[in-house]
Amino acid sequence: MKMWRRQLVAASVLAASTAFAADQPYTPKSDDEVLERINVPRLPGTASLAELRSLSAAQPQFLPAALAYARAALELNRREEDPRYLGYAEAALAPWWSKANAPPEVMLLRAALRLARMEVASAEQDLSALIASPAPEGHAARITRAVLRLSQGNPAAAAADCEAAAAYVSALVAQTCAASVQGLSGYAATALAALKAAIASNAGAPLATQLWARGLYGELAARMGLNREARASYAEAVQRMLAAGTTDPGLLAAYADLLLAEGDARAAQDLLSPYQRLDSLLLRLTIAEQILAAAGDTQAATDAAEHTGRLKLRFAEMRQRLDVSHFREQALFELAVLHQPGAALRTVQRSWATLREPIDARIYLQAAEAAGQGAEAAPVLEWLQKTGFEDVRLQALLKRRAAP
Amino acid sequence: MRASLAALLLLLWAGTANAHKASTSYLFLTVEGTAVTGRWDIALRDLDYALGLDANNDAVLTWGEVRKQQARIASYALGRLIVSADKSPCTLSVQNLQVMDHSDGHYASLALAGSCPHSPVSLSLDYSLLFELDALHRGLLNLQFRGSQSGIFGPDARRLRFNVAGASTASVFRQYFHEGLWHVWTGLDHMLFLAGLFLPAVLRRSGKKWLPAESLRGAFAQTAIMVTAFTLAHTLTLSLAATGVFSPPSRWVESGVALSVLFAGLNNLIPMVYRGLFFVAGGFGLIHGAAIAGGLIELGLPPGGRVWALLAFNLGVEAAQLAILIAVLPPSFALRRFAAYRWLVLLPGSAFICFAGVVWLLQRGLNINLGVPFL
Repeated sequence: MKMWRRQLVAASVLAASTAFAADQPYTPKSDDEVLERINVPRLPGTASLAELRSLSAAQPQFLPAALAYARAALELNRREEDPRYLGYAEAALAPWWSKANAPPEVMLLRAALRLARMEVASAEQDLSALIASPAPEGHAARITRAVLRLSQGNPAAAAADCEAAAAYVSALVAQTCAASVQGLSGYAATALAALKAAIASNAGAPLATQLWARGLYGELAARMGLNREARASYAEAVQRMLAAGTTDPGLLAAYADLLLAEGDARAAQDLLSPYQRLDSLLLRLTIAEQILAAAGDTQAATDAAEHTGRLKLRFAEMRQRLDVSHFREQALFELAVLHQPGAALRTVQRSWATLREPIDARIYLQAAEAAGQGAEAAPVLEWLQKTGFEDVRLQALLKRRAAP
Repeated sequence: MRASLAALLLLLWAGTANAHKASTSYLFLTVEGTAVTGRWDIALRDLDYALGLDANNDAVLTWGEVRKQQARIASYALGRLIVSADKSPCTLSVQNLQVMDHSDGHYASLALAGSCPHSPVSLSLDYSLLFELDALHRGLLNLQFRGSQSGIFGPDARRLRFNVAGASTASVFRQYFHEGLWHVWTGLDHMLFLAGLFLPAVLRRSGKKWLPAESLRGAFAQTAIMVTAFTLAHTLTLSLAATGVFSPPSRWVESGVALSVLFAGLNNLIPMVYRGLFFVAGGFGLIHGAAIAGGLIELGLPPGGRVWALLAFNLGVEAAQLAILIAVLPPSFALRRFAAYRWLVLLPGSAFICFAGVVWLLQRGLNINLGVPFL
């Protein structure tokens, strides 16, 4: 382990020195030159992050203050995808962080933070401990574990958690959870119909739940080839998101992926332009710009080149830190922006062990095929077979594989 | 209801990958001889979060606001980085503050300069920037010290140490020899013990009286036997302790060293042992070896060069002891016939050695500080 890390560090620092060598520090010309905009979105219904932070800092051992600060930071990370917020949350929980029998509220947040870092095993440990405990956080832990197992491509295991949680969570959460399981198990049509009814009869559900349900509806519809319905569901969800003044990066990315698959790069560009600060969305924007550039849009060509450079540097910098949470995005970048399917295949193979959502399967298959290494995709085919997974885009890919 | 809200807080992250760069600083250091130079890039966003740089609170950070707070930025940063040559801290100061662009924004770029008390064999870096605020913060190190080195600082890796790993056998040998030499020369307790043993070497005991030794050769020979016994003994314990075969509790070892110093001084004032002195030298050598090993353990043995490093360190210790002997013995031999040697050198010297031994014994045995200067 140590040796492996050391080699990785050595390799990454080589990359680092070449990455920095080009630029040198400089002295700005004027005192008025703006260097940074400090933009911490304000969360509705709570004090500002700065206020929560100073309350927590005033009494670092006072759990309620630490929890309030950590929760706000986590919510900001969900909106902004900026891991600094994860770091703030973890630092606020430091007095309890390494305790095996941490308070249940801390355990739940710790599990979430570990998931964000792809430390899946220790996160699952926390979740399972909470589920076994009488603490009310056990219900949240169950839903979280269900979603975790869905993202690991294990609908059978997720089903048990969805069912057990159903008695405690709101109706729409329970139904969305169940639909996710069905959608991955060969019953996508049933799931789609159930979800449609659930969304209609739970119009008063909290926004985050609604966005989850509508996002899933869009994904299921797209996988069944019902693109018009999918677009409508995504568009409606985005509308609501915008009206509430919030950001749901996962929803935006899924919508953009559909638009790009349909070849509607202009719509994807319009959707994502305001979100360039989020790397996962900048990535999709760059793909859109490349498509537009190929069609003769010179401004898009300039933007694509600049954004490609920025992303390349960003991934290199994450590699130096030995971060592992970005492999899916990196694989998509290598496949769709850099057109290096071999590299993309190797990257997605690293994330496949922990992350098996439909998008991962698509990246995996496309990369393997484009790299001329179709045999490498065997684990994906096996998974498709096992789950009975339906997806017209994947099936088209598979048909093309079978044809020659 | 509470559950569903909390759950939704979590729901969407499980699936969403976090493709974004967390807080990172870039530390470039060059250590050549005793000189330290370097550059430290710290994100302005992070400095603002830690120090509140945005003086007028308009959520916009201008160069003017940053420039005017150079002193605060420098003292904040320098308070969270310690460069040490072996065990001694090096000085470090910020020469200049500029701006550097990284992929995720503008960084304050601090030009660093400083110096170490001596040219380091092993270099330790202690880094604690931002960890109390952001547990995901990392410091990426690019170090030029006997070649190019690198490392990552994190909350669980706040200290990185670089020694002669990968260096040639000759340079390992040279460095560890040098370190062994200085370990004795800068260790007052070892020096005083040796001095206590050697002060009467130019005399011989006859009944209750000190008489001058007949020949320099004889004096040397008698001393050499003692030194050899001491050396063999402490080589044994040093090697065992340094390779981790046994690790005696340092409080007892250090107290034992203090006791040996007291004995060496006292034995000159009230002779207790003088014929079989080499037995005593050997016995105390075992303790001194274990004590000296502490210095070597702190330095670390280079992987792949352990045997050479151990040998070189031992030889360095011997060379240091012999050098003391060679420097002290001939002049004392020349002066041995004068009564003044006994009254002005042997007796007050031994008394001082006794005093030091008592002070150390109390301090180390009881774990208290008596506040005696130099001891």
